[in-house]
Amino acid sequence: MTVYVREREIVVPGQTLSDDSRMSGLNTYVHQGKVYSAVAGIVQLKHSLINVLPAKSPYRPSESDHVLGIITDIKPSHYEVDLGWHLIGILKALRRRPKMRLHIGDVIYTSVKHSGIRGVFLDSGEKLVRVERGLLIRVSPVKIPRIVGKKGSMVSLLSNESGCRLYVGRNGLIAVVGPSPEREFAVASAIRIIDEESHVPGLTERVASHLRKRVLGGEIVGEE
Amino acid sequence: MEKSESKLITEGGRRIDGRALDEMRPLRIEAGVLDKSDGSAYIEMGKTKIYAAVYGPREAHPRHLAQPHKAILNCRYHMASFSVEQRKAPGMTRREVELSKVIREALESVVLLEEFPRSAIDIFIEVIQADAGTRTAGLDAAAVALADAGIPMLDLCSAVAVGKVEGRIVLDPSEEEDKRGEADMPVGMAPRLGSIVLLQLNGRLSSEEFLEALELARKGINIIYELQRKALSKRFSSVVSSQEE
Repeated sequence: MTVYVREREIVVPGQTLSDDSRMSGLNTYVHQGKVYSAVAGIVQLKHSLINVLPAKSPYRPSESDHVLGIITDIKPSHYEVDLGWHLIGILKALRRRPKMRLHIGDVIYTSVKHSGIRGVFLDSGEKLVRVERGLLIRVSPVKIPRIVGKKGSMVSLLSNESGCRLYVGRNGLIAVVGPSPEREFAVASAIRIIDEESHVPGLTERVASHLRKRVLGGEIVGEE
Repeated sequence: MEKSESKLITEGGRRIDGRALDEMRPLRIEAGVLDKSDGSAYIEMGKTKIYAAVYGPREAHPRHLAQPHKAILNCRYHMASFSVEQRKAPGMTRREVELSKVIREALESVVLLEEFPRSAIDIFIEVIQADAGTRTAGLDAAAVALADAGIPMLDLCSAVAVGKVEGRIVLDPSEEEDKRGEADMPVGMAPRLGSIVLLQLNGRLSSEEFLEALELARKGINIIYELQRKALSKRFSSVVSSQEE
């Protein structure tokens, strides 16, 4: 039972990770008893499994993921929802939400009910929210955990400092709904910082000070 | 009137550009060079210069081509009209259509297409400057671009050409050697799996020569594979610590 890689090591597709096929984790595959990486990314050793966290990746839906989407088509029995990337989500007709009317172009926030070979099915029950206004931002799906932060710490920092409500989709779309466009743009620029500088230490501090500066500055400009 | 052409290989076993028989041209690979693509790579192999860009997975067009159980791979190998000495018409020639197909088939054997049902992955290989070995260099760049796009693959693809020049087997023939040599054999492999994904042969080789050429190609492929790995590590070293949940 040999492991050929260290924690946080960068690996490329096809690189041998281990001789023990039971250690095959996320983004790995087993070939003739050995574990290989399937993507370029960094190694994570967790619960005696070898995971490879991709450095960049298209969104791959899994059940109970929260996602944001845009209604692209209305069919007799369902809505088609653009989830960004290559995916089209299917939202069944809203039988349990008789008051809600959706139109093409509406942004919705919901969760993935089931994802399989027949498509991505979205939850049309109680949890479905229509985002009425705000700013829609698109980032790489691999950055979403960083934007959410440990137990949602980064998101609560963003919303507390700016007074905006955030809808964060695991598919890389984020809606910022705030009291003024200045504050929404302040959050957008803070998210841009997280996206680009997430590897530099002291990220939370910088995001907080950036937000304070932008929110205050934005309000002064707004008052003039 | 016959012009006496200079010999391609000297008595000392050096080639016209001063290389040893088993030496490759100077090689450079870079990942993530194009902003608007999902993944990209650049390769320089001597005077051969190629960009590769990957888009997707995205919706397959026309839509009836989409496969319900896997993604389809589209590949376009194209030479810029200024890439060769005599201007080349910008449209796709027969040769380019064929090379697009062999490169696509090579990549189809390593890319995990089942991960993205009903979608398409588009690969564009643009030859900026051509000086022999463009299909192999194009495949090298395309593999790096796919890995850069974060698309799951069984392995990278590395490819190099071997040739027969004045009776000797040489690695990575240059344009001059390709034109005046006796044989040219591009070889593409999935280096970790050890499987051959592309093999073509122009000219004639005896079975002993073929095995010798294949062995030499394997040597070149290992060098290219190391460079591809380095290009990807370099590309991603800046994002290493960005993944903490």
